[in-house]
Amino acid sequence: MERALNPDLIKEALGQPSSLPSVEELSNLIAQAELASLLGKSQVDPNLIATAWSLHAIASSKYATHIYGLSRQRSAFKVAGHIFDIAAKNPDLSHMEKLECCFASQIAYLRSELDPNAIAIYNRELKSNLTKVSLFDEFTNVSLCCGVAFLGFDIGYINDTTKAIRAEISQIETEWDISDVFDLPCGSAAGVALGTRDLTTYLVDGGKESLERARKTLLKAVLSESSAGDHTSRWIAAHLLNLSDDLEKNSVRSVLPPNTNPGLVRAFAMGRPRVLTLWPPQIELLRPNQEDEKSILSHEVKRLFLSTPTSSGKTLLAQLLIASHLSTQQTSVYYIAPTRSLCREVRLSLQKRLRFLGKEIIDGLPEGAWLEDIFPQKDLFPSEPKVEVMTPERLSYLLRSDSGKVLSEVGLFVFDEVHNIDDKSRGWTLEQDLAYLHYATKGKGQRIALLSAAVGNQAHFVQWMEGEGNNFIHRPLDWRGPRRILAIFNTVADWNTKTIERPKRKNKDHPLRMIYPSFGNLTLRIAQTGRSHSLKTTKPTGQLAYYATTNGQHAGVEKQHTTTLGKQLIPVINHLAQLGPVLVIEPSRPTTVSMAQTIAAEIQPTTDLASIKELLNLIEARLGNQHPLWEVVQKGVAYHHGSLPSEIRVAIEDATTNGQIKYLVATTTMTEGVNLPVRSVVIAQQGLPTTEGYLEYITKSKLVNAIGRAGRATKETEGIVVLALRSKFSEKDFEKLNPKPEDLKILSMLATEHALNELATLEEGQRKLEDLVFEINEGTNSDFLSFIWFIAAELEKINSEFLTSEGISNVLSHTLGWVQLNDDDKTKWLKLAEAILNRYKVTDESSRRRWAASGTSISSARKLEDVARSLANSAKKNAIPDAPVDLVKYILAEGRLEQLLTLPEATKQTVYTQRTGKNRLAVEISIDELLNDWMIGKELVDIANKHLIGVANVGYRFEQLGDLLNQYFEVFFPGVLGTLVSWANQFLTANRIESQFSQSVPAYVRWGVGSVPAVELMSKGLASRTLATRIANAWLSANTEFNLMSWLRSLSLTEWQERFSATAMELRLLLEFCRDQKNGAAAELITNEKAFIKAETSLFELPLSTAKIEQIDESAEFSHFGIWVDENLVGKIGTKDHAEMQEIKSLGLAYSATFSVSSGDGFLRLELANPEE
Amino acid sequence: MKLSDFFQQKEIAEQTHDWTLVSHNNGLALIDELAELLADKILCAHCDGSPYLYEAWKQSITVGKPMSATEHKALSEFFIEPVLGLPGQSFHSDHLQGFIAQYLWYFLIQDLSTEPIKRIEPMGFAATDHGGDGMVVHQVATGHLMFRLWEIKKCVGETPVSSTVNTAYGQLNSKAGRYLARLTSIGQEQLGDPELSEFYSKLPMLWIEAGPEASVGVALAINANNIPVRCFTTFGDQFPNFVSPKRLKGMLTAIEDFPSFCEKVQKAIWKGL
Repeated sequence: MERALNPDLIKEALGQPSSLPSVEELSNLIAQAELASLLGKSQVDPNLIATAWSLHAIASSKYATHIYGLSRQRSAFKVAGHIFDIAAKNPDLSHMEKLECCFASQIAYLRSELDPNAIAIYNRELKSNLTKVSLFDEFTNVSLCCGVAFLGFDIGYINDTTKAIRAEISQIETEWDISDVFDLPCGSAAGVALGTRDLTTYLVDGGKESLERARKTLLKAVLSESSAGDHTSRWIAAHLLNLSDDLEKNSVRSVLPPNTNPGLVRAFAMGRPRVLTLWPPQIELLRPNQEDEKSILSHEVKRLFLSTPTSSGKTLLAQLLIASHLSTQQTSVYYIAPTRSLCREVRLSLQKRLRFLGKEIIDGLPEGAWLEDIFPQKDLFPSEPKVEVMTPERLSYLLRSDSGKVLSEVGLFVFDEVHNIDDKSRGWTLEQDLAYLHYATKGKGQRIALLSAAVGNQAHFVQWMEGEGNNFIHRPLDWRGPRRILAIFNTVADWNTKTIERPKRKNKDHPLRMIYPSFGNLTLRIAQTGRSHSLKTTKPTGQLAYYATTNGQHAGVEKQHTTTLGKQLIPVINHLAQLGPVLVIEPSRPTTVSMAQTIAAEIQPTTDLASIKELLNLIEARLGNQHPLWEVVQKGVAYHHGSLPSEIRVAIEDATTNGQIKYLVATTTMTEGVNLPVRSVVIAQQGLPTTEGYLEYITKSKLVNAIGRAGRATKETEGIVVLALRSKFSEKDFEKLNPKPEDLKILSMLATEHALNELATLEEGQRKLEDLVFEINEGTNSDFLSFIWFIAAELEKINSEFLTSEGISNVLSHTLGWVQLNDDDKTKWLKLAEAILNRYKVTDESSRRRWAASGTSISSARKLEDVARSLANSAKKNAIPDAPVDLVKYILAEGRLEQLLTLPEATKQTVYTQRTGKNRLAVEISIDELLNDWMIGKELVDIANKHLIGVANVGYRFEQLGDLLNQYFEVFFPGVLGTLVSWANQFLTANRIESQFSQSVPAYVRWGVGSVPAVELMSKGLASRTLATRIANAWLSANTEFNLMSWLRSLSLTEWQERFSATAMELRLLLEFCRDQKNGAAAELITNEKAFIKAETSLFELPLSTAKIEQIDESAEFSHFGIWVDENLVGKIGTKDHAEMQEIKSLGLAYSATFSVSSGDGFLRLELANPEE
Repeated sequence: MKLSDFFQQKEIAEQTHDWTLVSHNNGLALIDELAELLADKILCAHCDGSPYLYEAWKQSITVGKPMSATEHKALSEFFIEPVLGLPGQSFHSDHLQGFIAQYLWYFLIQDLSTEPIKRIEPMGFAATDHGGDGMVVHQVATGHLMFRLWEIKKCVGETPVSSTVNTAYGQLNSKAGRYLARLTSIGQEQLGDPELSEFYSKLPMLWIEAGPEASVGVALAINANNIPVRCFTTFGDQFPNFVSPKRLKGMLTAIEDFPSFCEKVQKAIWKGL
């Protein structure tokens, strides 16, 4: 599953027997050090360090490659890097020793193709600990600090420090009359500092002259006779000099094709996070070694399948692919991701790059509406190439609604997490989207990229996508930065220490209770030896109780007095949390909540309340302070599952990423849906007991995705995965953490046993298949039917002559299923397809095409058509209301809501008073009232208290509300209402009635807002429907001539806080909303090296003056940036440009500022400082 | 004048190793003259990149010509203070003695080596930087290159010589890798001499495999009243793979009162300021 240090690698690194330890000895030394480090102990055997230095030396020998061999040298660097990485954690090291260990490790990782680890070590050990250095003090410190900071790509530190060192050099030249700093003992140290500055300038700004100057300076530093005794600085200089070739080869600008748009390079080199060099697997894909291979960016490559592990830089590759497409092509990009959370995450990370290209990105639009349906006004979203991130369901809607439009506007389709084809409920939607596009774009310009970390049967995907003139690239990459430590947790009882109790409630057969102390046992698999090492807790972590007879015979476990496995896990979870954030995976929502509560009850608060205050405020505002989440978050523990409101889930994800939450308990909804890497992942239980016995849920791709979260590339060099098991430990348990390819086989719905059985049942029936077409409304046959109907309509659109079995068969051959089915089964599906086709041909032409667009079963489409007719008839009689809430009521009136709810596609969720038990009752929910409250922007806590007050448990109440809202208003209604409105409008047009229903209806329902401005806010990523409603209402009542955006930008931060009662999190969202979505001052400054900001001022005239920009109140996060001239505050930056200024500051850009005022208008001009100065 | 002119040299051959006793000969010259000569050599070597500063210092000593303010500032702050301290300041005697011991070895080995020296690594600034304090590359009779990694220590006060020698063995064994890692990276950049560059590239392998081109040296500066009869007796046990007395070399440099000699050198250097 992954490569780490292993005996073979160590053997290669050590070479022939010598004075170095044997493979066995070194493996054991590393394993001991690894274990000690995990336990927070500091000892590292001096022999291990000595060996690491020898290996480092061997690997560094550039003129002895013919003796050692490149492969051995790479292995030696890899092993040395690992040892120094562990050694650097030793808290007993002096500052200089730590710096030295870190530099040695960084170089070793970089030279052994584990680039992210070099940054990770810096971030872990040094980032916040580097002090000011000076050539006048211990000058070796200068070279060490600059060396580690450069390899950690801490551009801010390098810029600031080397600026100070250059000032010192100039002081030396003037005050000491020394013409060349290299004439001094500190010359090499100064040379390293200057060299790192030039290397940084080269990577950030390009320019070979900087690189050449860096090389000359570093060589001078190595050879400086005056500094000959400064071996450390000369050693650092020598390594940086040798690394400069790799940096040149791997820099973003070198790897991208020579004709790449300069804006694209800057988007990566200067955007956030900065990407200065690319990682080995990325380089392999972007710059193939073989002449006949193509870069993945090449437009000749029409199909691409990237199967890479998590933390291997897949996200960056996708960003490069998209940014490159947008900078060279005139078509848009669709990015398809399985969950809305992931869509949001993709949008946020891509936006940081696309801003530099002046391109827009949107996500979260509802099924059931095109962008221009929601925003007919062109100025909000001009029709130009952009990126839309969406779920497979939305893509399906768009294809069915107007495939021609999709194919003419979109040139690149990126399908993320494509292993979801295997998903029982949603996989077919994804597969049919892909199959259709694969068919419809063959031999054409459009490109399709598939991404996944969890496809075991990659050969099937290769077979699926290759051929037919589509230039196809498949790259399976077995590479990731952070290594993993795998561990199994179980418990062991001390059978020699028992307590005997006589329970008060007598049991005739088993009058005794025997209690044994139980200890936690963690068995770690050390990759170096392949052996496992057990660590037992020093104190009992719980107890094991048995019913017993009078003579002491056990008679079954007594659960009530036996500590749960989850509780016994707490010491391990707690220990791991000291090393970094821990993600605990649970199989169900109730167990997720109870695990979070158990952790919160057992731990001391590790997070100060101030840091989680924002999160607590948000939870209180949305869910109330009775909610169990509010309680656990107070202890720095959070939980995350699909029923929490998306706004809360996002806030929890952000708080975990920012380190405010150290303990996160989640279902696999999170690991499947969000890329939230943590230091450690604990799988508390893989499954649950059910009526059919114990059922394991967290397996296959779910397990791979969960494990994949352990270890954050560039943040740490290792991740820890713990699997808790009830059974006695066995070495075989580790196999569970290493799923084999056959465990990750992704099967098309068409090839599943279940679907083939359903098909067989249908065939076995007495009736003709054609007669059944309108009756099949559920199950896999219905899904297949709906797809074939859609294909038939598509073929008919091209030419009715294509409406043949062969035509259908041709499209079906573009499914994954066709790769996996045998000929017999294909024939069976084709037989059903033919029956569907025959039925299609005899159906009314306009109806059959309309039904194809519905995305529902054909039986439901027929019913929907009736409902649409009824709606159109109403519109003939009664005027269509404008107000969104009234409009939705109108659409659902006259029994139409009830008709929609009877469709098989409609959610059938019953709300119960309690989760289990004999006394639980169903709670009646009025969907129309619920929808009304949802759309008028009522707080969730009020909705829950009104509609689900019968549910006593607050957590369960919100859980069920979350499901209701999601399933009805976020998924079902938007799609079905979109279809309904569109068809009703068709009927009205056919009847020559001018009035039409707004196509924005799905958006109102999806986002739970009741006004146009609120939809605008939500569509631009505001995420908080209550804030959107508050702002929209305030704008409407202001009755201003300004449009919403201009009005918001005219207000100050204080006014935002006062008028909208916005929390800190909401203010951040609002600042993002108000900044320019394309370009903006930060992007302008980076791409054009200058930017203008219109600033607020009370002055009438001010000549051009040098200015300084700082926050007016530095202690407050939300304080305007002020403009100072000669220590006088002369202006401030408004809300529109606040986020721009924040970004400029956070990127550590060196710039100069001037300010002038003319007739009361303030102009701030920013200019990027020349890196050479 | 050579530094070795002040010393008597005695070669002792043992079964596993050779060692040299280099004793200061009071009969040949006064200790003050030795200190002044060493001070001169140290400053000359130390100011290799800025010869004009050495010249200014020399002029100050020999003809009493005062240095310019900038020369004085540069010399004292950049060259002298970090390794010897400045007059009126306290300076750790251990560091001073370690520094002088290293330079004594540095000049004496160049005078006394029987095999031509191809390159000698300049002295490190930090006397406390363990794990090989000196390295000499020799061109042997066959024309091949060989190197000797030296650990240099001082032994004064009550500490037995054998104990300091043992410490030196231990440090060589455990820290040689670090020292060689540095020397390999640095030395191979000496592009003017491809043979030497390639030889530096091979240092780690030669060391860990105890190749015939690798050898070991331990040098001690001691008080003259502390000269042992036998020394380096466990050398062969500590480095069993370096089989041949030629490859294990010891050196004792004995001066009557080494600590006070170090202070004399220090003062001789300060005199020029």
